Amino acid sequence: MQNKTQENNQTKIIHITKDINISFSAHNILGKFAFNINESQETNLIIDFSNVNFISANQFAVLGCIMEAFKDNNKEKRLQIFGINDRIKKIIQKNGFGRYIGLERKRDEFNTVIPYKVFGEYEIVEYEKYLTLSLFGRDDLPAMSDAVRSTIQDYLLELFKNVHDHTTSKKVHTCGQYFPRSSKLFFTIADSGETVQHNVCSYMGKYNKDIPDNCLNWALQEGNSTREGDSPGGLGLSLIKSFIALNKGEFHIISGAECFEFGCHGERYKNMEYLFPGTIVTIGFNLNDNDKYFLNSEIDSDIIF
Amino acid sequence: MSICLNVAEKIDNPSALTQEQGNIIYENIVSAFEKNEQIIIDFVDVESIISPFLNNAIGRLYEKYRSEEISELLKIKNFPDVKKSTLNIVISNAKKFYMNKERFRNLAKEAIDS
Repeated sequence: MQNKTQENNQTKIIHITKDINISFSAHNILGKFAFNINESQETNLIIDFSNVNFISANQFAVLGCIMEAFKDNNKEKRLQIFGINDRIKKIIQKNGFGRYIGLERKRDEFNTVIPYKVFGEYEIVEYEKYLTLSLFGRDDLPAMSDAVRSTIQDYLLELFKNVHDHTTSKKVHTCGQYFPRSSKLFFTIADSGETVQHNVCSYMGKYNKDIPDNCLNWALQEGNSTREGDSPGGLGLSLIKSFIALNKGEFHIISGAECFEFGCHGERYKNMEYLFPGTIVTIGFNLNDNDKYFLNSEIDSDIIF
Repeated sequence: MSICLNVAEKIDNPSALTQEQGNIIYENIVSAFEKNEQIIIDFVDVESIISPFLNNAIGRLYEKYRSEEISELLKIKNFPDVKKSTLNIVISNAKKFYMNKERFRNLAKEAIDS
């Protein structure tokens, strides 16, 4: 068990005992954390991070999503964070997540942190500004052509639009981290709305169709969409997946009990030990020599009507 | 005679992101098509283009018009090279979508008639 709990009548301590990177097991830790706080009966919840040495900054989008959804649904309960080490504290004071533990915001002098932000479901224009200023305006990213930057930005916009179109979640949580050694930029979007599995099952039930064995797999196929309406759709996730294949990046989706991972070692679908009450999408862009390969292979010379 | 439509001006935004923005462009294209006029949609000054916009602006045309008609009357200008593959996927997906819809409609009609 990754998260241990100690309880008395009023207070429950939830210990997070492993680092939170971008692996399947880290997503299970986050799923279990969500489960533990949502199932608790106590009024005071203390989340103990004292055994955690590292949290990949993009995962603050997920932690923020879990905690805000909990607070929205349990206004009378208190959630406290305890035991965050100095290294993590320094990051969250810069990226804005520190407000959850009452830490004063510090200026990001070297502009190396991607801020943790929460957007309303309709705030795609604000989100786009955030991408331009806070993500692509960073000083430490490798030089990219306008075309590469704009292509990456468009896929991140596809991601946001996907949340808006497929869930009733009112908030979209985002955060990212750039790893200079691997030249990978990880960016996460999390929401606490309907899961992919829920949407696919409802859609199939409505039209009396067979429910697929793996709903995430169904949703990732080009043209498959649960969105109702007279216009075509169902391209967002498959477009992102194709791009990530060209880019030699990574793509992770966790929704409910299902998980999909795609990267240089191939792809796999797995079941989560604890279902995540919403959807997490993480893209790892490879910013190393982008101009050289993906643009040339991606360009179609003509539009074919 | 042909009409030129500046997309950024028409949607009052340099970002073409939503289905609603796509519908504005679609309505203008259909209006020109109904008069059998050629229309040029110009993407100059458009900085971001994503599939929900393209689905509605261009994809929806395949519900009413054949590829040949669209190809003859619709011209696209200043469309970014890096987004052409996305537009081609949007077009082929729209063709499949409306073909399946038509097939479903025919099957339903057959079932009701029989």
